[in-house]
Amino acid sequence: MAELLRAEHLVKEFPVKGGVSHVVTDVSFSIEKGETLGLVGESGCGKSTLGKLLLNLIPATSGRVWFKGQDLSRFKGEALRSMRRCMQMIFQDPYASLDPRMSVGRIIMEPLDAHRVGSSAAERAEMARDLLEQVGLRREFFHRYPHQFSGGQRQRIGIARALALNPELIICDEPVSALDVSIQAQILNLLSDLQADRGLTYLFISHDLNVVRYLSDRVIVMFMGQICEMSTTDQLYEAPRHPYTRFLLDSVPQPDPLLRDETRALLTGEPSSTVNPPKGCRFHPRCPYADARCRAERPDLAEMAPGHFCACHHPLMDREILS
Amino acid sequence: MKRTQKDLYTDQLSHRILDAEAEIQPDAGIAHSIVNMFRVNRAALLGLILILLILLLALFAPLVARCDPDAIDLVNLRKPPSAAHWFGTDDLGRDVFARVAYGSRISLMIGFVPSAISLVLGTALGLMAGFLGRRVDALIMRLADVVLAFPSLLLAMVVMYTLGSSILNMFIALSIINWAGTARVVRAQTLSLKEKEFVEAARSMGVSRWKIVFRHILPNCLPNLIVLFTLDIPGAIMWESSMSFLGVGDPNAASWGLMVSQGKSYAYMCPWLILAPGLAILITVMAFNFLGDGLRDAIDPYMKT
Amino acid sequence: MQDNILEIHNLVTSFASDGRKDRAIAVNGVDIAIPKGSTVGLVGESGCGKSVTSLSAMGLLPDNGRVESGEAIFCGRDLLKLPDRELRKIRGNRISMIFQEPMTSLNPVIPVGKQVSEALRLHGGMDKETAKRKSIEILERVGVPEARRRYDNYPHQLSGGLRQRVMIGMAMALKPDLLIADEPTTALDVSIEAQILRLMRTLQRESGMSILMITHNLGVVAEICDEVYVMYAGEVVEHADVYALFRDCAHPYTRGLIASLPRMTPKGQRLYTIRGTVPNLRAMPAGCRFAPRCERACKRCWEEKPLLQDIGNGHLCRCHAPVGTNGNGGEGNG
Repeated sequence: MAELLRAEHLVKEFPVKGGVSHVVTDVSFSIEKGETLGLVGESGCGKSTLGKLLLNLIPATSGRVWFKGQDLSRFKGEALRSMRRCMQMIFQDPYASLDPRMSVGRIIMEPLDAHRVGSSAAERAEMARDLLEQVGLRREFFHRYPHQFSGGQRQRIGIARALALNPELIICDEPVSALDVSIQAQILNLLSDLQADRGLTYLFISHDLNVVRYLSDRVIVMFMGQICEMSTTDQLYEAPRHPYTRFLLDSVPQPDPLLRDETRALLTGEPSSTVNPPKGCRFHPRCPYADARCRAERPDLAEMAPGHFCACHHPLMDREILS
Repeated sequence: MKRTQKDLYTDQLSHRILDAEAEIQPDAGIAHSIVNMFRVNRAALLGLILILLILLLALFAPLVARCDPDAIDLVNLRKPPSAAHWFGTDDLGRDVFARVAYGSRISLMIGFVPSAISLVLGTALGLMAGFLGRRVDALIMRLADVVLAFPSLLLAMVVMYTLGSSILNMFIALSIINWAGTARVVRAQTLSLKEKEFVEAARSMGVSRWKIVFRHILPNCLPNLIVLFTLDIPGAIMWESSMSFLGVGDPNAASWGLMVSQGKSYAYMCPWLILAPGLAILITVMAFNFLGDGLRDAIDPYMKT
Repeated sequence: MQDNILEIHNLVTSFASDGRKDRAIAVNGVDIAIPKGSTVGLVGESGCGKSVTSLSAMGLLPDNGRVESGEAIFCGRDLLKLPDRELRKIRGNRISMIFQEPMTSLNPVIPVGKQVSEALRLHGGMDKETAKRKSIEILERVGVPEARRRYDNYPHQLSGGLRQRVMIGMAMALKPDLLIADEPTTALDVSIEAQILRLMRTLQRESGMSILMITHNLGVVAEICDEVYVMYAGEVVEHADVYALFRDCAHPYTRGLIASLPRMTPKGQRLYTIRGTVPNLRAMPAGCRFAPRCERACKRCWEEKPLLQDIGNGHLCRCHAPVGTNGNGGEGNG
């Protein structure tokens, strides 16, 4: 597989009252063409910011993003605008991401218009109608307005818009978390169908570990702006090495009362502030395995097994995983 | 082989359509909600009807008023209302009804023109301030602060004194005191719209900045601007009346405010001289306020989503 | 029955929307019983009427909502017929509520500790000093670290998880008989959610209160509830013991909900979906309300409204053709 996108030492810091908020700290990874890379983490871990950094929607403090071998940060103005054709985004909130004053047709045609795709407006309108059909909506909905649609239907419109320019990479920022359970499944199916049809590459950002597991080939777990574990989906879910990943997986309430376990260890405490993050490993204040080294020295992302990376001084071994 | 592939594809499409299939909501829309508002909100409906009547009055003043508003009749000075002169006559024997009817043209013009100017000016400046930010924002907003810090009436009067009393200068004076409020509202809305996901989506698709302003931000400000405009009109009419009353209006433009001002010396003896134009001002201002409030209520729920 | 703390019978609630003469029926004849000391889950998707049911019973409907009929018997008294003052007393003292976003239920300009102690003074009749001591104790009890310092914090200075803990502390302060929790963990991260759920269970065990857990998350239901009511389009469609529900769910809707969760489904395999969307409140199907989305719907389902029937061992289901209770319900993709 070929590498489609590579992030190198991405850093994003925001100035805030009383210091600097370290939202994303030294994140490097790559996305292969045709795969789905899941990005999970709890709120405030920087996963959404990371998605926007990749698209250059917000400027990075430092670091580089390479897309098909080209350095994205070097693009400005018109060149950046045309680069955006290759990467699109699906947003979390289907209510806020569609302009309420625009008809569905105009919403889907907007990216086509912006890049002057096709020879005429009529041709673009026809393309928009085709797109509607591809995401499971009727062609006649072209003249309707977003408020006439349910959340799931709106998300389909958002997906049609993201598909319009035939991008290679789609960044899905929590695309199903605002939807009801039964609608979630519809959208997830649609996303995987479209991937199969068009050979799309997804970066799938979500806080829902079950959803990420279903859709992803590889998964990155983020904690407080850093990658703490990165691996293939099966390895990560079945044999997590980072204590945080393990706790996270254990916390998910499973829809099966037989799996209730009131004695299992839960993560204690709350995430620290990103303004003055803990020295050393950022997870150490909540980690039961933390020792002096964790408090002093930041662990690097190291390859524990082929393709399985983990940033921890005391990665979980098989023995502990089984216990 | 190819055929089965295609069958599979249509199969998939129909599956997707089955998934998403559902009747979609009927198109309520903002127009529907406004019509509905008139049905429920009687005051707004009354306002609308009154405004239409006043507009008709202004348009057909020559037909409605049987006399020339400027015809001086020295025989009938300050006559109380009668069949010949519905609202009586003034101190030069002119028919007060005719003067009120023709005055509606001037007063409405004074309501519309400066409100329209300040709407355009305020919107443009507000959009620039909100969207460009930084130094442009600071400059425009400080300017607005200066305007808003002055007592409006005083500012308008200073402008009138400097430029001279004419109806054109009245437009300028009223526009100067009005644009800052509009600019502030538009800027605030631009700032909040700029952070909306649909604007971010447009940026991520590579839509240019000015297209974002004209396709996304301005149309979403529009409903509020309409409300602002309907509420600016009575404001302008009031300012003009006050200024005419204080003697800084255009002495040749027979607006309602000027009539009140001229009639004030006879207020006790001939109350119709100020009651007729005064009531006209009251009714007009009230009508616009009713309509504006109603429109705001109808539009509000739309602005939330 | 004496051993139910709250019984809702045949509740019908309607809403007016501006400019329309007809009212939308949001809750259509709901029966729910909450046994003493147990946790009852009320689960369904958005707009199914689960929150409206509890708000109706508590007399907290918004202005455009109205209870059309039904009763809500709490300790022998019908809450729906009580005068406002009486109802407020019960709400403060014997029934407590927590909501999804604690920020909206906490006063932003009063320190959180003070809000807890004010609740104690108002309903518990304590003096200032005792109330303060007691509320610090409560904050500690619900797992707020450094409770003494946090006492003086304003709501916005706390994280979402801590705010929810404070809310639970406030709700528990008066040792209510019933706690109504409306999506209490929906806005929280999973690690915090697990903590809050465990806290609720511990507190319940200590005080013996009952909990009505309103949620859309089947994981939360499986984790904490004893009994479950599944609601769809304003009606209860299924009611069972939690184990029975997840093992042998009988209603096609429940079955679809459980099956559409991406759990162990391998990548590439399609997720089960319930097609279509929830029907409009004003245009409900004449027969079974789920019929338009149901794979098993037959002519009878479209024409005749099914009743909530006992299909064995108190397992209630509103379906003409319940999925066989032979143990393979819930799983699989059809």
